[in-house]
Amino acid sequence: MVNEKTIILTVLAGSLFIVVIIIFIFVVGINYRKKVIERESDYQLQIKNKELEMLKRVIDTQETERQKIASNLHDEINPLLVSIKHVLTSQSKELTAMGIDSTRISNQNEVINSVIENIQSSTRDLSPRILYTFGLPRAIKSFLNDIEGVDVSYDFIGESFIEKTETINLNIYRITLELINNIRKYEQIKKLHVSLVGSEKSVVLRIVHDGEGITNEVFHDYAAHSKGIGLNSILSRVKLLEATLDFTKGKDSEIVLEVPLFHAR
Amino acid sequence: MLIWYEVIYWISFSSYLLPIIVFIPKKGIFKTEDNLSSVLLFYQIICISTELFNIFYMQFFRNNNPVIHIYTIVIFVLVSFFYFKIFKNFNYKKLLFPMTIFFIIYSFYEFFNNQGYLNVNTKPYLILTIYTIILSSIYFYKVYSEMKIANLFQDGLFWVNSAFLIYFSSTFYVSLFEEYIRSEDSNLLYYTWPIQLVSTIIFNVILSRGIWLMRKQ
Repeated sequence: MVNEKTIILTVLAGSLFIVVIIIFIFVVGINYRKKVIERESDYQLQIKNKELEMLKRVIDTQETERQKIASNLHDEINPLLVSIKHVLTSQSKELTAMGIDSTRISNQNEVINSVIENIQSSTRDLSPRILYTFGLPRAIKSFLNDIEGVDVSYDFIGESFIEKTETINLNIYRITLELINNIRKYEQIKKLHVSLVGSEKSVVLRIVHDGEGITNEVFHDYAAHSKGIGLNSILSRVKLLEATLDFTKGKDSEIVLEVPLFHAR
Repeated sequence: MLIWYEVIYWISFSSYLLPIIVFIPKKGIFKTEDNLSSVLLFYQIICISTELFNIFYMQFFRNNNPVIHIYTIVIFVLVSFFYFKIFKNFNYKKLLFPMTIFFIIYSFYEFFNNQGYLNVNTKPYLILTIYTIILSSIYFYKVYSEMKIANLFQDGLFWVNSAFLIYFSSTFYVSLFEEYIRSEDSNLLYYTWPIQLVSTIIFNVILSRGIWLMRKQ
């Protein structure tokens, strides 16, 4: 015999049943959303890795081409120019000995000297052997020592951490050169200080100068509208290294490049 | 108890209008992809018509069971058609057609022979509820495994399917006890039927949300 109490219990159980189904549907919806977000982030990571891989290939190809050009200049053009220089020098001596004016030949010799120096400088830029042989701090020191007309100072801390991989060093080197060349090109600076601090986690490059400086927004604006390869090369390398690049404008303007060392690309 | 029952009954009856109101402002709603909206609108019209027939039959014949027999068959066909449309890449969806034919034959057998059209069609109705619960569960499984939708809560079909699952689960629960309670004391059904009525209200609210989202999509 069904009594009222049993019926009320049945109704309560039925109500609970409906509530459970509604909760189940909401749990399915929420879990689904979580799964979609997880899958989305995995997909984004895959795209990012592919982009970085492509960027690495482009930069590697650039570096290989640079080395080829540097090698051709150094091994083929440079010896030819040196032999021409020797011929002109000996001809100049012969003409002088014969009492004939050799000023024109001497002038041509000076031009060839200048060309040889330019080729050597370009070769260093294209393939910085000092970087491959002695490492990043020494390569940057060498570059800074060649700067004229500016009071340059530098300090390097934790050099053992800086020598991580050739790729990281080469990219930091190229970024440093490009940044300093741009500062010298567009700013009236008298003082330049470069510091490189290596640690287990990162390498931090800090360039401080007494020029006007720029902000991050201005830098990205320049890069977006620039038709040259310099600024875009900096951005590509920063992206490849998964680094951060910060510009601060002020009395002592500052550029900070922080390269994480969580992986060795 | 009767007053409360009446109140819930009329709220439940009125709630059938909610999805239809959501349909109205959209011109060309019946031209939507796969005619899903028209199936749902037809479903609502069948439900309202059945309720009206129930009132009419109870008034004049004191028995609305023949209407419920026909209602069960029509709803089964509509549910089959609806899921046939939404299971686009489901290998077994062709089974829905023979199952529907089988159900129609079985229902007519129950209608004329076994239970008779004057008695409650408990068995066909239970089959309908189980069938819909299974189909809506398959839909959830498919959506979960395919992961083609960005946000389920913004997907109209998810809400429509949830409405079917909630409604048919609760009617399955009520139908399980109905025959037994009816055999003891049919007045006691006034206690269990509010579950059915509340689930109808929930069904219509959720279905309206689903149709609203389908319109936006």
